[in-house]
Amino acid sequence: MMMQAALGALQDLGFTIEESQADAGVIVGSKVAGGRIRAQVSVRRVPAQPFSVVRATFQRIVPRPGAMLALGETLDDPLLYQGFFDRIAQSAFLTAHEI
Amino acid sequence: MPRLSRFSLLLLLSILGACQTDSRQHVLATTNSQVAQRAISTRAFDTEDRATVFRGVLSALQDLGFVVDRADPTLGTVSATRFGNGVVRFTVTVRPGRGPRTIVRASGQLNQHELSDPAPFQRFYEALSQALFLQANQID
Repeated sequence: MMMQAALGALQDLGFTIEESQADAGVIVGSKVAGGRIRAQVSVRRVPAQPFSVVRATFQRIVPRPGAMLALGETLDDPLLYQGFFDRIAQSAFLTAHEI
Repeated sequence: MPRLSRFSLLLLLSILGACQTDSRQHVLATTNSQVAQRAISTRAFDTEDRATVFRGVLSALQDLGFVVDRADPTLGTVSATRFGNGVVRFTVTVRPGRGPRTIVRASGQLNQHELSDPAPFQRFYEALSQALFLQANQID
């Protein structure tokens, strides 16, 4: 359920899914917006509790023309993560209502 | 000199601040609201056979000239890319609905921009309907 919600939130934000492992609870997506942005979301159930823990990491990959390796950074803006978790909450609601 | 360094520090901070807002916008900015975007990109099919719908998605994408990058039948996701007239990256998810319904949701990017226009989704769902011999129902 939370996997579907996270997946939906990434789709809402225009990410395409690069990797998904339902058993491991991991989804990786990317989109091109001012460079390439990669997102990893992991979902895990808390044993004997009715909730799941969702974790997200965003990276921005900066291409360097002519260089072998692209430069990257982890995005660490708290408001970005807050905004993303709001989208997940909204997505969970919409997904539950089959929208 | 101290004034200069203070000025450059201020400049650096404002540039850093701008970068942060920039990447936040890059991640979170969308043309349509979440609900509006889902309304144009989601359809329901009257079948509970998710595997068949999943295979239908694969063949519909192929019909439209996409090559699949990855397909995960457990979660029901397919990502595919098409070249020509720009790069289109497309992700489709297939999930079970309540009762005998399967819900298909698509999203994608054309070059640097998310697909926010209904037309490409309509084309995709027409192809999928034909592949499945089933009608694509609007969700509301």
